[in-house]
Amino acid sequence: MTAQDLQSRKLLFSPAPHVHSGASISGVVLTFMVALVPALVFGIMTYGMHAVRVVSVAIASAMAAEWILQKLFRQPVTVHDGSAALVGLVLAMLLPPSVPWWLVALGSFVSILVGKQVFGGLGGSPFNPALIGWAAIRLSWYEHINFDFSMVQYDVPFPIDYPLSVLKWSGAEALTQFHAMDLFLGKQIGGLGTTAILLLLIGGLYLLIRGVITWHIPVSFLGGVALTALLFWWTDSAKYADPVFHLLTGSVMFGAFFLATDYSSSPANSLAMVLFGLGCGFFTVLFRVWSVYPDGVVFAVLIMNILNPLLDKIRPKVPGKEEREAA
Amino acid sequence: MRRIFGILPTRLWYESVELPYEEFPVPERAMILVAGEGVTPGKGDRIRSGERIRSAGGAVMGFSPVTGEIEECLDIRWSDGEVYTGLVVATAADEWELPITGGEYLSQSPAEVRSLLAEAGFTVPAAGERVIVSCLERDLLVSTARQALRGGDAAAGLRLLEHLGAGEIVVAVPEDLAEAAAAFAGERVTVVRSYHPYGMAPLLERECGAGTVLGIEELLAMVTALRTGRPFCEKLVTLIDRGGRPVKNLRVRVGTPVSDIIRAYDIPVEDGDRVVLGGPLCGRSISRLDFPVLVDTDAVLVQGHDDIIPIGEGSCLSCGACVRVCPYNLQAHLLSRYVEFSLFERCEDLDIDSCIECGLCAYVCTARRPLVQFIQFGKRELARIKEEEAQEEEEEVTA
Repeated sequence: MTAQDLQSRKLLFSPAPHVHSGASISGVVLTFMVALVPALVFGIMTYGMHAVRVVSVAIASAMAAEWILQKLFRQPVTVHDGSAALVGLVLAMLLPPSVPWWLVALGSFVSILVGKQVFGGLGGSPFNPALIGWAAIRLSWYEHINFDFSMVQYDVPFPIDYPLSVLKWSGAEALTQFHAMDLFLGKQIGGLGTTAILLLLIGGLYLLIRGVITWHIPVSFLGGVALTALLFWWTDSAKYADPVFHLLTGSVMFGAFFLATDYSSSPANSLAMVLFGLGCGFFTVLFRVWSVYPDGVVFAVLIMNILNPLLDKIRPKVPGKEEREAA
Repeated sequence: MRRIFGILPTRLWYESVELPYEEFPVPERAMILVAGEGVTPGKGDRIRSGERIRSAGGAVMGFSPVTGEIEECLDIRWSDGEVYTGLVVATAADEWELPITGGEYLSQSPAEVRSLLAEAGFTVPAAGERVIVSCLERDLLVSTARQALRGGDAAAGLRLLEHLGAGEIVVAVPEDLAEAAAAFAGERVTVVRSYHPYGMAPLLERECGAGTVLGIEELLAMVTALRTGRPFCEKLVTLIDRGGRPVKNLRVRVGTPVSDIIRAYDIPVEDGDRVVLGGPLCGRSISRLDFPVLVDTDAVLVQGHDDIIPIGEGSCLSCGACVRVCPYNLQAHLLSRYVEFSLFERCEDLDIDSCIECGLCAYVCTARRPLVQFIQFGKRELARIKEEEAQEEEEEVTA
């Protein structure tokens, strides 16, 4: 190579650092999806093609909504990063397998539009997008997203009563039909991907090990549920369910690992994350005890999402700051 | 550098292998890079090794590392936005014009030695000041501190510091050099963390207590200057080949064009590759290969275009990876967004000036945002705004 050859090279000129860990948006999305697979497979094994239908419609319509809206808003199309598909998947896992297809599609569309794109797309949403879509269809078409009646048509090898509805309408004494181990292994009615507590726990641990989430939010979420439930249970153990029941039913486990940990709607500093998780757990139990809704996970997370900008003000100290200011 | 177990904190360890060492010959054509315009001597002048180079205002900007005729004066703009003058010198055999007289310095008074060092362009720690002698690398893949320690007379360096009347002297070393360092520094050795960015001065101060951080190479250069009268003009440089492979430690005359080094070791450079002065996390990329080795260039890094992960164009996800990795607990995710939308005052509330630009936040960023560049830009804009405000106030006072 001659000197002239070298001088004529067109070099890449860019700011430091010049290396990268290799982390990427699609990598993180893929990790979340992989973590959801065990619970999803369990849901499909339980409900068969009904579950497949809901999941595919949700994912497809979320991706289509993203593409259409980004075209419409003249934004670069980023369907390929998988984040829209993940929103669809998370939404589907919260739904009963009996939901009509148009409602699933509508939920996905609302998730992407109101939950994500109006706030500027990925990273901008103040709420977990999937929960916005879920809340919209849950409040508008209650009869379709109802675990009490929708399950009658399925032949499942466990009680077809939704545990949290039993608690709501019949009280804690009626809970003797549910055994903690059955609940833990997913032998309960619920969202098609939220019932397999053991498998969700495995998926959650996978997320932790891969480092895409930290322990703060899930652990404090579960801790918040347990503590609040314990307080109620202590005051009247005949009227209120025990903490273990609360932890093993509804979307608590799913919410702790997959809903509350949504990046843009949760804090980034450790103390704020712990408070965020505790708040989610606290409101979940309050909703279950005092609201008309059997489960309160989604609403609890949405409430804490609103508080997120406030929690973001809690920041760790910058080392050496005082000395610098004194100087 | 993909990681499977992301739960473990990011640890980027400094190099601990000893590389083969070579002295690089004086180049045929050197480039002396000086900040500012209108420096003397200029085009057509003959310059001698060790001769002072002055700015338009007459301040000493540096010393010529080579002897020869200045063929050209180039205006060069670098990534910091500043203008530099590149003096291209056709070199000849060294003729020294020494800024100071070398010799036996320990017999002279500390004040005399101090002024000699200042004459030769060194910043000397004040009498009684605590000094941290760093044997740590300043970036990944670099091993110049290790090389300096291996080839130099570190004991003489410590004697010099004692003679200058420095306060407590701490010798900061990575674990594996503790024994070697204890041989000349004894009780003064402090083993510090040897992963990035703990080799950077502010973090060394955090590890060892406040003090002036002095790199081992600079300390040894002071000894050389006092003995020979020569200013700092030979730099240790780690040559890093494609694939992040350090291949050699070189002693290079400052001003040696990068292209000379690359050619001497047959490192292929193609269009779209990146060549960096310094290490992978804090180094600065160059746009032309006649760019020279500078007094603070620890490495010449060549990166093939296949190894380069391009910067992402998307927005921040708020995943918090940058927050977890920051040694100063800064909110890089917020800072970068505030800078993006020109909210510089908010950056000040988030202590943007505490950032030491170690590069870890951008290294881990999921969205691959150029976080360090955002922060650098924010700092500059903030400084500019403050300057303007101060000027306005002054004008009001005079009016």
